[in-house]
Amino acid sequence: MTLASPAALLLLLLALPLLLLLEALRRRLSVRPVASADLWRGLLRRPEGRSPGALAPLDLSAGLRAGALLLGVFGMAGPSVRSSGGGTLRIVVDRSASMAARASGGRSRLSLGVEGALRALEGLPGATPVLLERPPIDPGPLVTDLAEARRVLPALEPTDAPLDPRSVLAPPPEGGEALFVTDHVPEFVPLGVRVLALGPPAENCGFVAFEVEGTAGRGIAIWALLRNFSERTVEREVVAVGPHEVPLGRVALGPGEARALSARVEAAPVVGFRCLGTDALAADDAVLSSPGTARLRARVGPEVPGAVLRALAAAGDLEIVEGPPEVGVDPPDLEVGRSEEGSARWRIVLDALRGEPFEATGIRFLPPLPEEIDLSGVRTGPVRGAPEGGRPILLARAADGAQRPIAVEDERGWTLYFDPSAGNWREHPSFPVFFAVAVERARDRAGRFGFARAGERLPDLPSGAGRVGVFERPGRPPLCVNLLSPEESSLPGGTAEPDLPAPRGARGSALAPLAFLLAAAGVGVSLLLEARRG
Amino acid sequence: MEEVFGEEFFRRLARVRLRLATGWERGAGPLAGAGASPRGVEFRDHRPYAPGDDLRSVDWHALGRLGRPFVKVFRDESRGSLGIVLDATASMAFGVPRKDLVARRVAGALGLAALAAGSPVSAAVAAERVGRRRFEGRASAGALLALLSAQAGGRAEVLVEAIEGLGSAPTSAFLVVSDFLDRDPVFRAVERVLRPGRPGLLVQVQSREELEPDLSGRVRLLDAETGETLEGTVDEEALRRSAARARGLEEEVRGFALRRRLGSVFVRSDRDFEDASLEALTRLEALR
Repeated sequence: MTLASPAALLLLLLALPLLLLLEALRRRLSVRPVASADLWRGLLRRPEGRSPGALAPLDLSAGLRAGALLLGVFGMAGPSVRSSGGGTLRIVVDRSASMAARASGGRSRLSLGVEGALRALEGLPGATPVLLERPPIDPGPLVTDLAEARRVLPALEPTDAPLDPRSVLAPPPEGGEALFVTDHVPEFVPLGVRVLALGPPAENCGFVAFEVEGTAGRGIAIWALLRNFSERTVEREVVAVGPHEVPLGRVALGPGEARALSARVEAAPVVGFRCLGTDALAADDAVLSSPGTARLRARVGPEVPGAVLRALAAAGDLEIVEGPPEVGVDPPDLEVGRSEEGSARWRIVLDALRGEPFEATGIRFLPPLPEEIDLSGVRTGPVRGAPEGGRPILLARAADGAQRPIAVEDERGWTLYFDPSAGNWREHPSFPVFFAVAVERARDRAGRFGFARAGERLPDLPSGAGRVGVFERPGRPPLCVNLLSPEESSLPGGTAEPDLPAPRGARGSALAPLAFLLAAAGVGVSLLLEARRG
Repeated sequence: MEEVFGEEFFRRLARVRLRLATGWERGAGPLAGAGASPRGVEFRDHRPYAPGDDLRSVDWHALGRLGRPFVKVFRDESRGSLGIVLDATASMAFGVPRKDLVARRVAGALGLAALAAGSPVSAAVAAERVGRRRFEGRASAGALLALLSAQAGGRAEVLVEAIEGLGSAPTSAFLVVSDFLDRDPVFRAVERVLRPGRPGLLVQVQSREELEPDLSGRVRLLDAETGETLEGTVDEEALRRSAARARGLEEEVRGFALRRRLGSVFVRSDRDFEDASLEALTRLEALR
């Protein structure tokens, strides 16, 4: 090991006194009056009898701070380890089909990966042994030296085959290092393996737009736009998701090609499309949403009070199933029962997106209460839901006649508070009201949730178009398009007003491309979606 | 220190008085001697029998007719008096706002309300020593508030002495306003002054600093009342457990009150005294 700047170690002379001074300041006692020492007895982390001026033994945090300071100074000295020829560098370059995808700057992922690998070779002694592997074709190690690796790496080409990265990952040779260049980072990476990540393969092909329209008695029309962002033709099995999953057939998309898909499914809490990769890119994708008009299925546990059952029954459009969960049966959309967090807590769990449940509401009985809740004087009596800023709240009448909110909305849903001393909360008039509101909120939230996963940045974004967004109109079912995040989006920020009607009459895959192209050409192309007009 | 009984206090006191106009001042309040004693009183109403009621007051005719036991409720023709014990020991001068501020105002509001309703008030303030005096008539309102304004100080023993003074005071209802931090001796004192047919209310005051402590790092904690010090480092666990102790104290007071058939009201020191007073009135009435 050598040090690039040994003089930096002199900083230790300054750093150590500074550390001691900081520690002394930190340890200085601050005198705080309290109402009663009983509230704190036995809770403080130091023995009480130590004299104030005594030097306390160094604790773990002080040791860690000192260690961090020493490492920092040591790092400034620029230590470097030069292999003397004993350590072997193993380089694994993923040459699967997805590595041919264009990354930013128009260069392929493989090209960027090779550039990163060459940088990693810089500074290594000339005698360093290098093992170069090039899966999925020719996966075996190419025993070479450093100079040969520098020559071979730039000549690598992507293949047309898929790659399971787990099959090529292995711990580095003893005393050596390993570098994995890939666009598909596995969940588990062995110790000592450095990964040069270049982006997930899912970005090669995915849904960029999605629309749902429910018509009473006629099922739900779904429409989506699937786009291939890669430089090669990809194939996808497309499945329509409704009460059941219906295969629509196989779609082949050329480089940069988009395909409009439409289908009509029976009413279901969750509708949308899935596409399953059948080629080397093997990138599955899905757009799913709840149209908000579907009949939700609620399962209630045996312990649910009668007041709640009545509230659920009155909520309408709810199919209520009682009893324990059945194995092998499609899970319900609403779970109403005791929370696992404690017997005093109830919850409604919305599972409309199958596997992505969130707690739509909870009921808490114990303090501390949030600031906006004041239960003082609130008695059992009439409770009503009152809109406030477009959001329903629950009000109870206090003994002084004033109406006070007893429920608040937070990031987890709605929470209702009761006076813990009120023993008849199960029959409290606000209880069913609250559940009715909670179901309504859950349904509303289900109707707004959905996502369209997008691929890489659109290279040919039409002028003036820039956003896929949620567009709603009063009295119409909400359209659910919500890009995962700007970083994952193919579309830049901004807005666009031109209109892109969904293709009419397109079904399956035969007429969809033509319909899409006609529709796009007819209005000057935009990516702002709106609910389809009847 | 903020003025305890200033203009704002009296302006808002009007609401408490208004509340009383429908109750106490018409003889229906907790000071009206509404126990089930039949002697020297005027029949007023029936109420369902509760364990502990004097069997002599059971209306056997009503039992025969309705199949459920009811007791006759009488109204004492002479007005009862209200006993008030205010904890103004050093621990009450803690918090922002200080706990004793809302405690004094609640005690003052209820005391003035009782005086306005024609009921005498026996007040005892526990500070450096016990200040005790009996007040009667509206003209004594100023003297009552002066007593309740006594400077904070003293220890729990003084509070115990003040509560025990209730034992000999001829009151028909009583009120103890305290933080109950020294719960054991205080509970024992309250038990000693319990009398059948005399409703009592415990008003517990705690501050945000006790319920949601925000201390951190190395500290020397100084007990405001005893002067005892604790040294050490406050971490997340200590904060959580200290807050849990404070909340647990609230549960203990409530549980004690339930066991002894007393009423209890919990008041955070930043709570509006008017709301707290109205709740205390409501609970006191509910004890009848």
